[in-house]
Amino acid sequence: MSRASERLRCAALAGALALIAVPSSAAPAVQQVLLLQSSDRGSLIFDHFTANFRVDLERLAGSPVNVVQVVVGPTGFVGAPDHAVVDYVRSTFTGRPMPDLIVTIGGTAAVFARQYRQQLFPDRPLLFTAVDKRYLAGAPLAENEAAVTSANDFPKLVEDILQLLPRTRQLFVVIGSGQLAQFWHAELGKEFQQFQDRLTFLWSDDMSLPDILERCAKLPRDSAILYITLGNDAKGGAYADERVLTDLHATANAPLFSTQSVMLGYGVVGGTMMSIDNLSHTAAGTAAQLLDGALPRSITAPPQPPGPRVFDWRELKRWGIAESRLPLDSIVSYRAPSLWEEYRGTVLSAAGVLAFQSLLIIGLLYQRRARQRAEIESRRNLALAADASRRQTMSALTGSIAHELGQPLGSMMYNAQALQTMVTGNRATSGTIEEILSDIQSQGLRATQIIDRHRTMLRSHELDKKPTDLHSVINESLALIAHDMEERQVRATLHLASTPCIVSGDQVLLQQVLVNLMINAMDAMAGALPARRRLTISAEHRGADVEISVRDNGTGVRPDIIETLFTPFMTTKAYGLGIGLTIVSTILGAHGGTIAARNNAEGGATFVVTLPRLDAAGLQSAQRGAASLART
Amino acid sequence: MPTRPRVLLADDYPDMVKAVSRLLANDCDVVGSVADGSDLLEAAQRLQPDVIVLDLNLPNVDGLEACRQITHVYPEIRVILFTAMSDTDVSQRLPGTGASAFVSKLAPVDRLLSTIKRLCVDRG
Repeated sequence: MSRASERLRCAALAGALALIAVPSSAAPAVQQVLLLQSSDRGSLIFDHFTANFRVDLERLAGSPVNVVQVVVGPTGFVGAPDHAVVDYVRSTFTGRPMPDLIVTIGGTAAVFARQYRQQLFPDRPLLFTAVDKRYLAGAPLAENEAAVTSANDFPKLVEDILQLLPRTRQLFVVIGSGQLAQFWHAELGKEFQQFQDRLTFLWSDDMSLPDILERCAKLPRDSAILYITLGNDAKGGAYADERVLTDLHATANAPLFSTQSVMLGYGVVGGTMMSIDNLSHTAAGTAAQLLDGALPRSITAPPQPPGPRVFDWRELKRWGIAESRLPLDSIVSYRAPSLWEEYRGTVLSAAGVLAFQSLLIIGLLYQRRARQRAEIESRRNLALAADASRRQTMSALTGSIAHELGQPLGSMMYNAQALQTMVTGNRATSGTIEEILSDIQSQGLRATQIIDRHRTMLRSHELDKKPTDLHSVINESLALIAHDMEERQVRATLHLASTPCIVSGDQVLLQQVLVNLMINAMDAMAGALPARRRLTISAEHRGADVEISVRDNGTGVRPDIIETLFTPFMTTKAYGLGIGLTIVSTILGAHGGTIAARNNAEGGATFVVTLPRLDAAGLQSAQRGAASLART
Repeated sequence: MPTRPRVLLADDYPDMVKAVSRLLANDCDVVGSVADGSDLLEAAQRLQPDVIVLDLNLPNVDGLEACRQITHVYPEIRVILFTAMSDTDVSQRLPGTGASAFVSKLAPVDRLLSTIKRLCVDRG
């Protein structure tokens, strides 16, 4: 290999290595944030603040952020000397980029950062957050320091308490025993001087938590409790706010108040409180500005005042505080929804369903009513039609009545006249007289029977089923129309079964059926030669039924109407209502029977009536029923 | 003494035949009766009546047809249609039958006898 080519190869390798070593210019730089926390988990204020702050910072920062969080307060390194904590913090950044920003959360961390500022990356900007302005008032901010502070207004909360509970005479202030508590005891002691005429303040900083709870359970009447924060009690026990508030709420005999919004919902009545949400959001925005290169001195965030008054509806109820006592701008949270509010959706849905159901029911009722009306109307029409049919039948039968009655009446008259003549001529023997009078009597009886038969036939009639021999029905029907047949020169031929055809039926109605069919048959044969006017009536057993056919040699039924022959108002006659066959069909239907019509191959039509035959058991049952009726 | 009219009764109602026979017995000779239209011609030939009192409602050959046959075959026999039908009904059907008179069964009873007597006098 030549020297020149070896140089070239080395140059290429070096170039390749250089390419590998250079980071991709597309990957954004991760910014480092050191978060100094005042307490370990358990502080509602700091936990809530920190969680919100980190979420907001990630969202607001222009580049990825890596947060290194260290607890520097007493619950983080209990018993550890401060320099060890400082060493630990510094060690976390060994071999890594220095923090781009240092953020303290809470007063303890602020004090710590100030104290060890020179060891903790002094050239990096420092942001104090979640700290009351009074806590930083001891020293001005340095060149590369900024602060997002709060301006808690404790006297204003006390005024709220007095407005809600004007008879309050004692205020028990729950506060821890650490450095922070001492600071606040001194600060609040001064600020609460203005209430010395109205209130007696009791402080818990020399008590353990059990003592505090015991005391709170036995507070004098007209007392209230103001919870600042406990942190550590007089015996050094570290307690989370949540637990302390829960215990206080459970045991205290006086209403509980706090200055921080995050404590609402843990048994605190409410009032003027600091909004931790707003504070953390402002702090995250400021941190993002600093990471973006803003100069700390340029940050001029004013201390955040308390938010609007917020109250817990449940606690107002618990302590009997009327909402009318609340200041006008108050917000009431945790209000138990009324039944309407809670179940509005369900109620509305149910109401909707009920309304729909009601409408449906109304609709169905309306429909049912309309149908009932239609049925009533239909029945009325049918009754009218039946009556009209009866009148038609009556008209047809009038001649028959006159003719039939004429015979016995005429006989009676002639007999009476004959008897009179004999008596007048002294030719009457007692035997003759007796014979003639007997004849007159029997003829009177016959006339009565004729009248009864026709009257029954023409009377409006309820269904009266009893065992009925159809042979007798056929004979009776023929007798009723005999005169009409004679006039129309129609001859009848009977083919009856050798044994009685018994059905469960109404003799008169079945008679109406047959009379109707026979009259129709005669009408159909009106145009035929007299010799061809032949009516054939048959009755025979057919399985479990009895079949009666009425056959004529007339014009037959038009094929296009044969299917609708039994519907109302269908007629081929020049006169008549066309309801006869409907009545026939209805009567047969009431007997469980049917009717059908067909045209005969040799001309004319046959109407076939089928009725269920009454078997032996049915016959016996009917007879027992009749016997029972007879006994009653 | 004038000859008593010979009367043949044609009616399928026995009670009527008996009653009419009783009434006419004093003035007429009721020579017989038939209850079937188809028997009438034969009876007329056999009994030679002057008058036939004929009910319209006869089986097999009804009264009107029987009347036509009788008056055609025996024009000298007077036929009285004797029925319970109304006057109007009968009068509409009389033409062409050859009947000499119509008497309703429900008319005053002496009308039948007076009609028989009148027809016999007219015949001379």
